[in-house]
Amino acid sequence: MSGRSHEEDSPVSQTTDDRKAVVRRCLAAWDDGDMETFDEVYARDLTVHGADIDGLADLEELHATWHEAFPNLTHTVEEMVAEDDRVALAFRLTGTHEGEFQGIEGTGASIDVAGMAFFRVVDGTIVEQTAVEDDLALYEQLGAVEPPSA
Amino acid sequence: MKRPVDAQTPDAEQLVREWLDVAHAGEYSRFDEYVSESYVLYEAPVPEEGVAGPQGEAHGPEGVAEYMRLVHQAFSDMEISIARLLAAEDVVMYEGTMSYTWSGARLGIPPTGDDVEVPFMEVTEIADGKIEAQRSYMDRLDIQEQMGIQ
Repeated sequence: MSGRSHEEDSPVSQTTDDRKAVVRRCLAAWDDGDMETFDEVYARDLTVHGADIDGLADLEELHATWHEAFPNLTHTVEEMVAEDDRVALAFRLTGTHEGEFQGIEGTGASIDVAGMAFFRVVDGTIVEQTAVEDDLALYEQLGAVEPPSA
Repeated sequence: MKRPVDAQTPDAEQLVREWLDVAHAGEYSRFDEYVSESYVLYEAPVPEEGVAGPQGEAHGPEGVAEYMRLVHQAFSDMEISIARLLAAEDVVMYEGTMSYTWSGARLGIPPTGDDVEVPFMEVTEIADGKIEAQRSYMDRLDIQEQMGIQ
């Protein structure tokens, strides 16, 4: 929980709408491969819970991996709620599998995976992120595992 | 889809927290106090057979009761802990951990008695004082790995 080192009382006055806007910019940066914005919206020492990601450099690497595999990656916002410095997001992730991903060569398969994420936004940057995606759905859509009902 | 404010509304939060307790305690006869007739649970593991609604969905208080009966047959000592909850007027988003013991047959596979602990996130939509939709997000690959299936 290194994110706790950030002060709860932000010196920059931000509304929940401002914090939602930061999250929207973050999603656009993921989709467009805009690394300048990516570096602006994420704190350098951000904490990513539930994933083997240590700081912004690791996240940039993950971004590159996804973009090589799914060049037309698109996050679609389905629901967003903000309260204090937290933003919750439900999204769909769509794209075409064109490059190698986790050892699976490009299949041309279309993916459509639902996910949710929680962010903590302080001074206009994301300092904490937790996401849940259904990797089984992703691998099923890439033809790497059999659907359970088959 | 425009909401007036992202202010915390205890009613929506309270409804959702009570519903989670009632659902996981298996108080099936009370389900219709919390979810509407047109309620839909969207949760990837929901089977097509034996549950009202297509694969991945449980429709109405009856459908979700049918699904929760199947869940309780396969898993015991189910505990839900909510780490964070954000509430708007008509939508509640939360993240937490679900833990249970695999004690009954699941997907035709005999139980191992393994303990499973998995992060989950949910979006719950509320209309006219009842829950209208509930979308559940979890990584089934993580669950299957813990159950020794994948």
